[in-house]
Amino acid sequence: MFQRALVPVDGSRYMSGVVAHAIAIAKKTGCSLTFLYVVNVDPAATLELEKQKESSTRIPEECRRKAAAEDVSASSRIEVGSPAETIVEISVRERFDLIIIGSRGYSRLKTLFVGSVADEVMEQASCPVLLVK
Amino acid sequence: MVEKILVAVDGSETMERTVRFACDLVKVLGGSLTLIHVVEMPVMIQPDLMFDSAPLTRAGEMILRTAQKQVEQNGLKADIILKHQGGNSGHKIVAVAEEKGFTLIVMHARGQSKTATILLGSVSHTVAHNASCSVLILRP
Repeated sequence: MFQRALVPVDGSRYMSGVVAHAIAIAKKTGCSLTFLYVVNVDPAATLELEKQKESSTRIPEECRRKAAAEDVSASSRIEVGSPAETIVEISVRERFDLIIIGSRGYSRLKTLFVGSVADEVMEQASCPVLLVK
Repeated sequence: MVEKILVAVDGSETMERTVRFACDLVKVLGGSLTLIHVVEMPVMIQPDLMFDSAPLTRAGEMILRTAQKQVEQNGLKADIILKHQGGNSGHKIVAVAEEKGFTLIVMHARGQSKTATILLGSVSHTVAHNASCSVLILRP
């Protein structure tokens, strides 16, 4: 029922739960997973950008490796921009049929059950969104 | 983990799609399927004003029976739950999910919200923000 799921990851401590969930779903539905890390950086700081992209690659890569170890078809990817916007844009443009996103990430506000990125993705996405708590 | 799936139905035109999707999901994930409908009661300013909820309750029962029949036509079984809530029904859905240990809530992004400008209806918004289990928001 799902062919391709987009899984935004952020390297936070909530990430492993989301990844485990995504892998479980992929194993049951046969869908492929695309682990996406969005580097949220001030476009003016271009010198930092390449460094950030380089050091961030390991985040979605680590997820991809975990999935591959369980025989799940997966890829890892880095993009630059506003996280929520980029996630939605990619999901639409590349016709993902599911977004699997953790409800919490780097939100500093611990009182929120749903972080701002997950919230915005949920509002703007045009495909189904699985919010993992 | 055995999935215990709670599907929110409201009798709107997206309901058939939501139920169908939930059936496909349970066939792949395994586990059980439960349908919930929450009758939204008006929040009264004068609490002693009598409000006859019977017609809404009857409508709710019919909605659940319709959805349950659709599940059975898909070769599956579903339990049904009917509740009442003053105001936003999302809170009741969240409460039931927590109370009965559901692992996943499935609902459409926009059920009764007919306005095309509303991307995510208030009920799904409430559920997504307050549920302690995972929530699958369906679109289109």
